[in-house]
Amino acid sequence: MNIIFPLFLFCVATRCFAGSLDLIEFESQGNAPIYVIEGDIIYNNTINGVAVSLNWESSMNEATGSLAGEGDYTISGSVNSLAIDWAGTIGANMNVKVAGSVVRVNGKLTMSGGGTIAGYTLDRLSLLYTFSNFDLNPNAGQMAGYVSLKGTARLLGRNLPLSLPRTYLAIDLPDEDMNGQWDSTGNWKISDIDATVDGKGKITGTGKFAVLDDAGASYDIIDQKISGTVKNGVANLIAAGNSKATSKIKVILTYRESDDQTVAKKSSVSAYGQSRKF
Amino acid sequence: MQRGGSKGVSQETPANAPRAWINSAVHQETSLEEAWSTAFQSDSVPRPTWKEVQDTRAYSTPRGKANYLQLLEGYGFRGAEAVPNFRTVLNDPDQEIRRAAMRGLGRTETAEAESILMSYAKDGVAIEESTEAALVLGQMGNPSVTGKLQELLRQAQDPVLREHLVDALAGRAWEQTQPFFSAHLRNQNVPLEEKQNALAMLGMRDTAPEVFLTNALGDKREEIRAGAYQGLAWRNDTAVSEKIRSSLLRETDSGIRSLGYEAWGNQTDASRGEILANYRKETSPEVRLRALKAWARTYGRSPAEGEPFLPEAVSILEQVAMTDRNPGERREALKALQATRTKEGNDALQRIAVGNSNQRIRELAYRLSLRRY
Repeated sequence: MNIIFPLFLFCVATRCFAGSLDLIEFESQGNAPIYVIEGDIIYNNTINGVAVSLNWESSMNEATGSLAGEGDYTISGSVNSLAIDWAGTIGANMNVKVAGSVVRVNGKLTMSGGGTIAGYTLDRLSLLYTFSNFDLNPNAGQMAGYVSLKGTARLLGRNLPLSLPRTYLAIDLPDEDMNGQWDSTGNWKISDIDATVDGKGKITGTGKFAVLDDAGASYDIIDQKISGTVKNGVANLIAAGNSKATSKIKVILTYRESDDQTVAKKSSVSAYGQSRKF
Repeated sequence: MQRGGSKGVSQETPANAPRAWINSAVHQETSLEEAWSTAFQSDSVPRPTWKEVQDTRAYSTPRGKANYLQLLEGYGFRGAEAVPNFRTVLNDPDQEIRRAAMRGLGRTETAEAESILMSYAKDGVAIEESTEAALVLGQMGNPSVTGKLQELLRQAQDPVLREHLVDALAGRAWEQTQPFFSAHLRNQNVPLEEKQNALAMLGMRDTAPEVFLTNALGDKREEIRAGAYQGLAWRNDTAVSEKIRSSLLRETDSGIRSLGYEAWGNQTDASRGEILANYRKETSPEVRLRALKAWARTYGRSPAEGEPFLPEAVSILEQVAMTDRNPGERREALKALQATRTKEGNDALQRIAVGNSNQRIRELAYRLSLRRY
């Protein structure tokens, strides 16, 4: 945990004098990671002679953690001696939920389009994959879990049902570095804090919140409004998004003035649909 | 896979394919289904032996560990014979391994596994494991698990565990859960956030009928209506635009209105003319963007030549993507531009990819511009 605290408040006994909180930067050190699943998600596999290629662009809402994606797919090859050549578009809608240190992804991936089977034209292909409780594995750079499928293919004027029981799927998270590795560290910081403390110990000001990648670059910089109090040598600082859309992006820091250390389990961070205490 | 009807005929050309193949494809509905299923099921977890699982245990890389966890989980498909070994693995010091063992237990679909998992899905157990147990139970096939999950929920206090138990219930057959969810929404002791999550998850899981969600739009509490909008934004193949449109008339909170437009844009019967009329009345930038996105999604589903509003929509979305101070809103604008599935939208994405002040937005716009439209 890297805390840079200038002398921002001078307290004598219980009486506080107004001062400036002119520079505070707080950077997490991995004990409360916030992961961003953003970028090009690619799944290529050849299964029993059928080449399956999925490719969709994932973006993540920094306030809700919902994942949305659009992309393409191709499925071609021979299944049971039947030549298939299918292609179309992908739409993905997912969300993340956190339980302690575990991040799980749930959602849907729809595939629509058409193609041919044994030379016959599929008038329509409509597939719905349901992703249930995919475990995010930051170390392996994957999310893995089970998908199920239901859908229909319209062939020769008939709707043919398609379904698939739960099937294991491991998807590489979007490549972010030159080695093709997912490099989201989950690190984040509050920076550029410009705040003041009044004579009653009330903190007001502004700052910026960002989740960082491996190279230290920010995914997004979210403007924050700073509030809080200083009382009995303990500061309680709240940095929250300064608009309705970002108000759930929030950091609460509770720390002792004497040694600038956070009070265990009294601080928290909420962003990208993930909340952590530290 | 040997399926006579399909296999023999597949070597014919379409022009001279015998009637038998057509009959096979049309009437033997399982032939196509099985062909598809075969293609994907081969990627599913195999049913490894215990020795095969153990052989992968000496991993040295994260990917190696992921492989071990996958096999451990897949071992559960061996059924009751796997349960004793899973009991042992549940004592492993590594929580990730214990959680994989829980998932494997669920695959066994045994009463013993249900009993073990129920002992974990309780307060006082590490939240990672209690929630894992809850979710695994939710995926088990035995209908009696539904009642057990409800009982676990009655006992649970931790809000995170409760949320996951509700998630587990939301994925179960509606015939089993309808009385529970109806009572859950009426229960005064249940936090509103939990009810909101329940409605959203019922939509995501496509379990509750759409009328259950639209009825919730009539609730006097905003959180309940928010959950209903979220559910309708997630649910597949719903056509309740009119109910959403009329419900939006009462909404004053911009956040709720935004959710309403997310739901509206997801309706298969959405009229872009009606959405446009509503968009014109909106004043909040956040809500206007969601309304535009709903319009773009609706238009993109069935683009029409000469749509007069398209240039204006693209121009506004491009402006938001270029100038909004909130990068999240810029992203929404990019997604809306792509949703139009037009050359105009794609051209705007290309301009944004070059000229945006935010590097992430430039990258996203570039990647989106490569997609087909």
